[in-house]
Amino acid sequence: MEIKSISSKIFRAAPRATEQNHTNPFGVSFKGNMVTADVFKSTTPKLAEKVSNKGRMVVSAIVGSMNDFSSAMSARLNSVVSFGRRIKENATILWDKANNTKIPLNFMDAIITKMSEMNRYGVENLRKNNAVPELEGILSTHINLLMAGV
Amino acid sequence: MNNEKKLSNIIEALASHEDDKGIEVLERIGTNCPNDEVRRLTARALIKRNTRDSLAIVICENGKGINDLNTSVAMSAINELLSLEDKEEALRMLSEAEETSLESVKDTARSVKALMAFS
Repeated sequence: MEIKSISSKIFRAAPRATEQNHTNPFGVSFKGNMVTADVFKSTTPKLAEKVSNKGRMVVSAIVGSMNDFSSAMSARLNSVVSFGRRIKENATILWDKANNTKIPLNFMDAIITKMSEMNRYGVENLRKNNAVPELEGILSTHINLLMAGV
Repeated sequence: MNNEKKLSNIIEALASHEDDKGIEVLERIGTNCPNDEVRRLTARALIKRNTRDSLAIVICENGKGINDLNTSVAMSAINELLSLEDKEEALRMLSEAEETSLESVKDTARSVKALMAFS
């Protein structure tokens, strides 16, 4: 490579902007005055503007979420407080009712009868309290009940 | 307690009774019952007892236990046999069943014995 060509490459002049900054969509020349600059502004924001806009958006999102968070927290706390109050009221009502309720004796009898029936048909009790001939009778009775669809 | 639960407990009480006559009652009434559920409960109770007499009923007799004509009853009995901890007596009864004259009983015993070898 010759030095001349290298220097010309390094110290190459910047290309002159030869584009016109206005457009002529009709492709014809006008007589008279013409607007020499484009009426449309460039919409591409510059880098600095882009960064600042993005920063503003992030900050506003954070502030918005903080507001929402604090209002959500206070709503939740309020609902917890009101729930606690309701529980307390219900507990008081239940306690009063329990104190004033008398359990009827028939109900207790029914429970005792049911429990003893369950006990009577437990495997251990069946085996201990019945000889084989008695168990045979009990078995036949219950098979007949099953076949009858009871 | 519903009737089915009571039946299950009665059958179990007979199978685990100290008097061996309970097994005879189960063979006479339980294994001959027309109701599938009663036969299934009886077969399982007899297998759980795990004695020679109780296992002979469910393994060697045609139409009972593993030879029941109802597939679900037979499968339930086979399952119970496979779940036994001590399978010694059961294997012995299965070998005896293989020497029986009835072909279907022989085949079933052979198959169950093979299954037990793998379990």
